[in-house]
Amino acid sequence: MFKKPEHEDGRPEPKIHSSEPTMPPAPRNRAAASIGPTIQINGDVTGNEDLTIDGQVDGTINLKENVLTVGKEGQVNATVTARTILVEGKVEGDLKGDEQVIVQRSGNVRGNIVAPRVTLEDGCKFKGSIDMDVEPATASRASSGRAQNIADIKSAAGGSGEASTGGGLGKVPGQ
Amino acid sequence: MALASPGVVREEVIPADVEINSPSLGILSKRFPGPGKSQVLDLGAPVTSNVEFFSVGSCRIHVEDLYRHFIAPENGAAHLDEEDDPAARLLERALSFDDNARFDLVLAWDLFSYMQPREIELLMSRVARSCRAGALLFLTNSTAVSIPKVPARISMTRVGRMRYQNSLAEGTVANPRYSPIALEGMMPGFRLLHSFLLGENMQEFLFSFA
Repeated sequence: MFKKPEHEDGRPEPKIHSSEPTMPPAPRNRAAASIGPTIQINGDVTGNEDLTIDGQVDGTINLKENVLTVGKEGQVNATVTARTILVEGKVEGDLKGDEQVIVQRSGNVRGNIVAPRVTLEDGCKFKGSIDMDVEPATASRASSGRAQNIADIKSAAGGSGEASTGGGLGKVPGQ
Repeated sequence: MALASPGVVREEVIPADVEINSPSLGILSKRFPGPGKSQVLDLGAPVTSNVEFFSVGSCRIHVEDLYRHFIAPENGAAHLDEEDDPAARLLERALSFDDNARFDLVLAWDLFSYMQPREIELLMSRVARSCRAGALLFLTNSTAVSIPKVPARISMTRVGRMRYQNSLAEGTVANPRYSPIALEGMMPGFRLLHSFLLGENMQEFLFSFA
């Protein structure tokens, strides 16, 4: 007759990202962890799952094998390392993408980007250097779920009609 | 067809979107990427195809977006006179590359048309400190009497071709039409290497840094 509150039986999986560098990868089908608009973090963020930041993070972010998305409301003052970095909000700090870095139209980046592929969408704000003379990550590609996430991001970026860099040699692909 | 009579100023049409040949970019495409790691300073706004063009191979490109950070009227740089030390401080703050940078190529696009001579002097004296001997400076200029209020979005569409996208909605301003000699005077150490007159009232210059 009386149902026990759900949290007494078993709490839903927390959506806060992991902070232990040695944690095993997150379950494949889980949605990306997120830092909400009212959350402010000062310090290091490390994890083994995709992360979306809509709040504020000051410090360092290390998601070496995963996708980091800085949402439109997100504000990051940090040195960021991730497999793929997608910026829709504001970032002040250096970005190192083992696979690619995408700054979308709404993105505002002040810092240096190091990645084998870099996409700056038309209208984005960027000030800093871009170094694409780096080897793409050769480590085994992780789960198909993550690969799908990256494919989704590429698809989203491609929708703007803006070319991504890193493909040709002195000639813009597709033109 | 009637010829314009003396004293009648023919209206110059500023194209909103045009693609034209650029011999200078053809020259640059043969030089970059060169041997070793070249460094490129792009004073313009971030444009993916330009980043692509120069950052492939072993180039490192530094994007400054100088209009937004220094030239735009809201920054107050446009009307600083010769006595204004704040101009130098503002410029130092606007430029984000460090003293260790050694550039092989500087892309100024059409930005100088939006700057006062004093601002160009300040900028290029700072840039010159970070240029290697033999570094090239590429810039474009309009021969028209007036230019759009904000710089064009200039993108390299393919080798030797440039696309100009002008924003005409905000009106036009007078074009200072700096001559190559005047520019050399504002940029000690830079000497004119090539000058090309293009279509659509455009011209382009390649300078070399001694």
